[in-house]
Amino acid sequence: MNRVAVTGLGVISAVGHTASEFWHAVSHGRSGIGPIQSIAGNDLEIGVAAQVRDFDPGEHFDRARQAQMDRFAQFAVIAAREAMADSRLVDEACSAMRVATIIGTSIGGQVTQDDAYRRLYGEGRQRSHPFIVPRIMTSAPASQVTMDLGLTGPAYVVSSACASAGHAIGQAFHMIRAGAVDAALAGGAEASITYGSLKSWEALRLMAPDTCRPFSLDRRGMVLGEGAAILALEPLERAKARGATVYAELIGFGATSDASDLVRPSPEGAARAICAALEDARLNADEVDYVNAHGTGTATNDIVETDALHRAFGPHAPRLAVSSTKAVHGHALGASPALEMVATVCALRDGVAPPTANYTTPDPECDLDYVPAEAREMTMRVALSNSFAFGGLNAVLAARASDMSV
Amino acid sequence: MLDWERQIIDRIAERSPSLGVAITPETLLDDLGIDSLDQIELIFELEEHFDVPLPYNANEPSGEKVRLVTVGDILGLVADQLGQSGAAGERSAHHAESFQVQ
Repeated sequence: MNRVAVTGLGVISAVGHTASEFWHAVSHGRSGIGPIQSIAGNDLEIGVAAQVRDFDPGEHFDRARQAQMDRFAQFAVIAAREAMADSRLVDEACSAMRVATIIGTSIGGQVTQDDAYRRLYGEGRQRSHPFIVPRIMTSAPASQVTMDLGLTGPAYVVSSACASAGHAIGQAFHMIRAGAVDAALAGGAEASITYGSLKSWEALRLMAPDTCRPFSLDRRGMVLGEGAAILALEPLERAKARGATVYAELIGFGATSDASDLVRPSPEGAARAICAALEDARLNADEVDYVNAHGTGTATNDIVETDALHRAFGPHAPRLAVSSTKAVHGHALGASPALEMVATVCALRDGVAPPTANYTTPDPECDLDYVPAEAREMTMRVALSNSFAFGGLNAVLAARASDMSV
Repeated sequence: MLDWERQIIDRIAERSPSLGVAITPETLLDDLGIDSLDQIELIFELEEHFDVPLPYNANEPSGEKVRLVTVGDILGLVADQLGQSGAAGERSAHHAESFQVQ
């Protein structure tokens, strides 16, 4: 079995249009949550989101390509380009036919769908734009990334609500470990902040009116985000042989389902996913230093996740540094696990646990160390990244600090 | 050249990546770099602009098939519809809503 290295990163998010901008904001706890821009609708109760700002598609794509891509696919391609340029994955030793492209997304081309159906039903327009279908299709990120970068290996999109990119990265990790492919671009993309989706999320009664405060006593719910993150993965031996930068080593992936409630996570299902990742990585619980939490900032998730961490780590749980970076980049749904994996990988590289931003007050029911407010330099050998999605779909990734100096 | 023909030629020119190619009714769409996906987007734009349906299906049986090979084929497709609606050359162009990416 191959060991698997992360050799490239690409991000576009509410707090930066590159991986380094993103990590700088995350590690400084600088939140990208702010007043919603450019969404018409006087009756929206939700006033805040973590939107990708100052984004001009024309800087990245010509007119013809823009017309064929929804916002979420554009984000995927931009992040993939950065990861590819960062890693220089494809060369004489690794052909494009041996590169997998696996991208997670939960809901597809919402911007296109919202606009198209508003025109059709709301305005009674007789004809629809011919590109609605290829723009909406949930698989668009995989198609557009492979078309843009000339990748001809296995390519598809994985969807598991808020765990989508976690499952995508886990799939790619297992494929490389098994030698089924020689490299992969894996991650997630989501751009679903529209009037229609905001009204839908409001109706679930778990959106925060102010900001996202994971694990804090005064937390009031989740905040929607958007963006994309892509990781370039390849066998560690190959990365070393060609002198590539190794950000971290992926060592485990655990996936379980709760078979319980449609929206409420189960501590037992989540704990099993954590344990599954540890087992896949051949790790003892007490070898983990940092956990990037799912940490949506809802009353329920944060309590359930804390419970799950106690169950999985036992006496080691209080010694973990646990933080949720959703306070900075928002909940980008299917893309969140990828954004969080980039943060986790950078945390391992730099030996810095990013803070849980916006945290003010301890909650007695969330009693772990959530790295409040400020980043912490620490010995960080192993880290986990949790994603516990609606419908009980859980994905946990484990990574280890690279033993090579970067 | 009639006003409505000029409007169509202009729209074709806008989406062609080939610069400096003089566009006549005999010009091949392939030579202008306008592929099949571009063609159906162009048809949509023209339907919006002239507010007429332009019957075109790439999968029609060959006997009935509308073939779009040259610029003239597109002009002919529009001319047929404008003629049927009785407004050839007189319909004033109104702005078609362009498909905006947010």
